Amino acid sequence: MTSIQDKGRIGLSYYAIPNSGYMLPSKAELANFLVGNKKNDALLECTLIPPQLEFIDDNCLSITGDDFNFMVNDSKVSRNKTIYVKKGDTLKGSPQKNAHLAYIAFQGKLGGQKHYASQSTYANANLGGINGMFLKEGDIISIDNKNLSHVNRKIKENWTEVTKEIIQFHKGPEFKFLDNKSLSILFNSEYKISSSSNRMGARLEGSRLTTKNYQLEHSVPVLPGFIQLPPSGQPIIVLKDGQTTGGYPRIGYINIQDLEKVVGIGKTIIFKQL
Amino acid sequence: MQYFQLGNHKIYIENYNNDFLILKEANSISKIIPQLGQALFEAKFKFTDEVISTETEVCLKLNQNYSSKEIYEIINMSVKAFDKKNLNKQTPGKTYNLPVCFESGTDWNLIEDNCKTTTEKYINEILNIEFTLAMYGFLPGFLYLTGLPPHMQCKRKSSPTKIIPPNSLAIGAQYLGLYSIPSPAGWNIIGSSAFTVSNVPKLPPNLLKVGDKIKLKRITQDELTILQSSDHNLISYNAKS
Repeated sequence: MTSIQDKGRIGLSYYAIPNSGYMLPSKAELANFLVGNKKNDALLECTLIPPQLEFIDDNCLSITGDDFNFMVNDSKVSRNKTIYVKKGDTLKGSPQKNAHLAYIAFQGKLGGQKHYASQSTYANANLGGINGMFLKEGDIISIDNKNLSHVNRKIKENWTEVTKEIIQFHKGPEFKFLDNKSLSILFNSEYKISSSSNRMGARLEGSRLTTKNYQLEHSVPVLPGFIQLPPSGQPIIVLKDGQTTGGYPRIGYINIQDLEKVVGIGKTIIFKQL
Repeated sequence: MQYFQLGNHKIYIENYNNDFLILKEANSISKIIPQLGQALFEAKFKFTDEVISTETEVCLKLNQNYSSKEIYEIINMSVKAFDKKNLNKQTPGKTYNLPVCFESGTDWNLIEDNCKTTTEKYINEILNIEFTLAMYGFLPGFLYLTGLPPHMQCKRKSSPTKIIPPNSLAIGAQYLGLYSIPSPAGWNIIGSSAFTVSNVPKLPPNLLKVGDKIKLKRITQDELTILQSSDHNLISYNAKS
């Protein structure tokens, strides 16, 4: 799955319009840097199944994030550097074990719709992207690169696969709902990011947490990073496309900078309290 | 915990590490919280990125411009809004008629079981209720409407419907909800509205404001089809009637 994303929409949560935007800011900003764009420019975010692209014009691009074994025509291309392609070339990646998210940035301005000052795709309400949708076969993406400037950038990444993340936990409004046994489970056990996770939320799997109440009497505000506890007792971390209100207890939250750490199915999460 | 006073309402402020604030009134559902949320949203503070307002809480997501002295700006703005708009007197919103076809409701059996009533009786009662737009939330264009008396409230479904069509009307606990976009739904679907209340992707994204009143108007399946294909929208339809 591939979508167009930029930094996202700010200030509309009041109307239940989520922030959206790229899930891994550090990788997206790097991809933009490598082609000489502004760091918040729109680019392609590829999830689990990478796209195949055919170039109608010469282009300058870069790939960052996980390794989807991208090839230009028949040769493998490296990530984290500026790449030049010619009209008629194809870029193709393939699903790989432990590859979750990658970014493809193009020098210049990506086409598509801009809604509420953002090109980020939020398909539920048909915002951004190409006609408000994830990319599909046959879509043509225009790139305004009239003033193509020559850049040649490369970043050496000391890449080690992270399979375990330790994340700082902050108490949320309903933290007190957790009993002592659940507190001990929460801070002494490991949670795995489940395959049912998506851009709305990271669903965690692990020992069940119990609270006196799984359904609040009223729907209450929810922000990206909030940790909700649904009746399954398995926490959900709200992500960038998440709902803005909800009825599950908000037992905690994580720093917005740590949202990157909860992307990646199968990864292990350990919560630590300061 | 910090608090301030709006008339005889005591508003508590919970600060979560300068990441966000939650404002609420002690132990009660309060008519002034949604209006307070609206005023704080419209204030467009430099130190907030988001304001989310529900029936019981206002949440302000803070940014790097926030410092502890800004709390007084929030209090000042709240007091000013309270004095000007008489938040406590519940400023009357506009009233809209919403044409609804109940024949397309798919969960009347659940309503009948839970509320020990018949569909016809329930419809006759609901047509006499003046609903209030209590809050936005959940998804873009979704409205939470209050006004259901206890005997008409119906618990959420145990397993949600995978996808429901846009403009579905549904009962979830104490709320009447209006889904503007296709969505999974755990609420009991009782009908469809002929018009959308969503204004996405324009600003403001909703045609109705918190505090506005809504009365349902019964229409047949044929009338629904005619209205849906007409040039009318919610606003022009109400200007006419």
